[in-house]
Amino acid sequence: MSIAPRAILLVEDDENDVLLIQRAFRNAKLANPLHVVRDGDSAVAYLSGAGEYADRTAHPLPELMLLDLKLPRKSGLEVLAWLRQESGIKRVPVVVLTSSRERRDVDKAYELGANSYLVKPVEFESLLEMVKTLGVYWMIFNEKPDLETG
Amino acid sequence: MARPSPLPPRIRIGFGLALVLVVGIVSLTIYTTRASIVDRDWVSHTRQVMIDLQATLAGLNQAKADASAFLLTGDSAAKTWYSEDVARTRLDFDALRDATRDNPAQTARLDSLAIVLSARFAVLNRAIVRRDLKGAESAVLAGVARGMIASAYAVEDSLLRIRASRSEASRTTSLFVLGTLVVLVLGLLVAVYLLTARDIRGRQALERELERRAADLEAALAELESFSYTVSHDLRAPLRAMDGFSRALLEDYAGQLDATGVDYARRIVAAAARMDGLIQDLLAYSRAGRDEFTLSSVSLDDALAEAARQVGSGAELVVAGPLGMALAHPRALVQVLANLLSNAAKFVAPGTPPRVTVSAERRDGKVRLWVEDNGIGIAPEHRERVFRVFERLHGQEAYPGTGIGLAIVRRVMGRMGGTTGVESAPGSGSRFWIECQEGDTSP
Repeated sequence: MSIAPRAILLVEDDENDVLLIQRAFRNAKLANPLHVVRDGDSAVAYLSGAGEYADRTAHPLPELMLLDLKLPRKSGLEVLAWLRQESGIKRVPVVVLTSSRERRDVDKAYELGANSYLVKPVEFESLLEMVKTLGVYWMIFNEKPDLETG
Repeated sequence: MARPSPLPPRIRIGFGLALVLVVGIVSLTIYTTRASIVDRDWVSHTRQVMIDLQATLAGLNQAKADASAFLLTGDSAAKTWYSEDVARTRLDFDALRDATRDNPAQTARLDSLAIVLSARFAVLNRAIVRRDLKGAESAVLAGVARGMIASAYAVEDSLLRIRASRSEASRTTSLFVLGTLVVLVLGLLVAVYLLTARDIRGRQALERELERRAADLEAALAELESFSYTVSHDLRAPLRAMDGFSRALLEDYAGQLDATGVDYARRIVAAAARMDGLIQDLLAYSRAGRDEFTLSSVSLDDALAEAARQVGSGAELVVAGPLGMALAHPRALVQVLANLLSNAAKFVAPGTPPRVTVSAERRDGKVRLWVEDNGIGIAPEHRERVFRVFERLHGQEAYPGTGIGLAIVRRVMGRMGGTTGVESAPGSGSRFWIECQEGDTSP
């Protein structure tokens, strides 16, 4: 295992949201490299190391995935369902980060094996607070699963 | 408790009339049958009287013939026959008098006839005793007796005609009335049948219409759901960008912005926050109309404590507890209470520390929760307006808000089978209340 800060994969199609989340990461002083893909199919490709993501040095397997639900091509829920069936990587912790507060989205996400569900706040201050907490919780306190076997 | 009839009034009246007519037909039939029996009795009675009259006349003639035979031949058998004739004639005559006692004119006539008969028999008896054939003749008495019998017979004969024709007439009348009633009943039944059939057809059409509307409604609801999904997801994304990048400007480029630039950027932030509040509230209101609320016993004290924690306003909260149990949906009840609490704490006159008092009142299996404030109050004409969506009584500057909190309260309470209301006067605070079924109080 490397001692470099562990990678986080952000699956987000909204360019503004990507910029804002990146800024929140900078302001929160999170050192973890943030890899970004823009749609569901790319997320599946990244996670399975296919095509342009074959190089695991440039595109390391993430130790946490931040997943939007409403995505072009495969939806976030479809990506989640696929991931939980994949041996080897199925234990990757997934935090849903979306704008939907709809009951059916929340319930479906947990049913499919999401580890946490966060609603993107409109105010940047709240987003910053959320990213800071996220970093502390998932990157420091949380015990990581073994992603190599299983 | 009487249940209202499912039939429309016209059909009910039709059935009622038919029933009355059937009862009328039955009564009339019984009455007519009785009357016709009485009529027939009278007719046969009259015939009997006529027979008795003829028998009396025949007896009188026979007695004369037998008396004459004895006087001519001296045959003792003829004398015996004569005695029998007299006895039989008297018997027939007694029967005749009994039968005509109802008729004073006939009775008087027969009284006279009795005297004439007795006289006639006395003449015959005397002739037999004297063996005087000539003495048996009494043309005057015999003629008078015959005349009397004939006139009594004529009276009875005319009575017979009258009674027979009256009986016939009453039979014809009742047959006509009965026939009319039967036709009426049949007509009524046909009318009621047609009305019922039309009513059922109407109901079936209504049912189909209802089904169609239910399907339409379901489609509209599904559309609304996807619409609110879109709103919650997509409409907020640009707001995040507005807020986020304005803040980025304010923080990362503070040195390059003058005071006006900073003010503009802040206004963008404030507008985005306000728009977000509107969207959130509208979604909450829409959800309140769609969500299924499964009711269970909820502690009002616990729900209030949770609501107060969520609101976290600086208001002083006085609870006249314990408040008891309500039959409600726990999460929805907390939302209702939170909206009421924040509403109560918000509308105070500047400088007045907000103070909210909550109390409960139980009556007839229902529980009413009062939320009382020391706010600015509501004029009577605005009391119902405060429960409508986006209705605001005050400017954004004085009391910020979207004006949807109380609309959600009313809608959620309605979905849980409850009611809402307010008592208030300007300047003396408001007393909002919600009411629903009382929950199970046993632990």
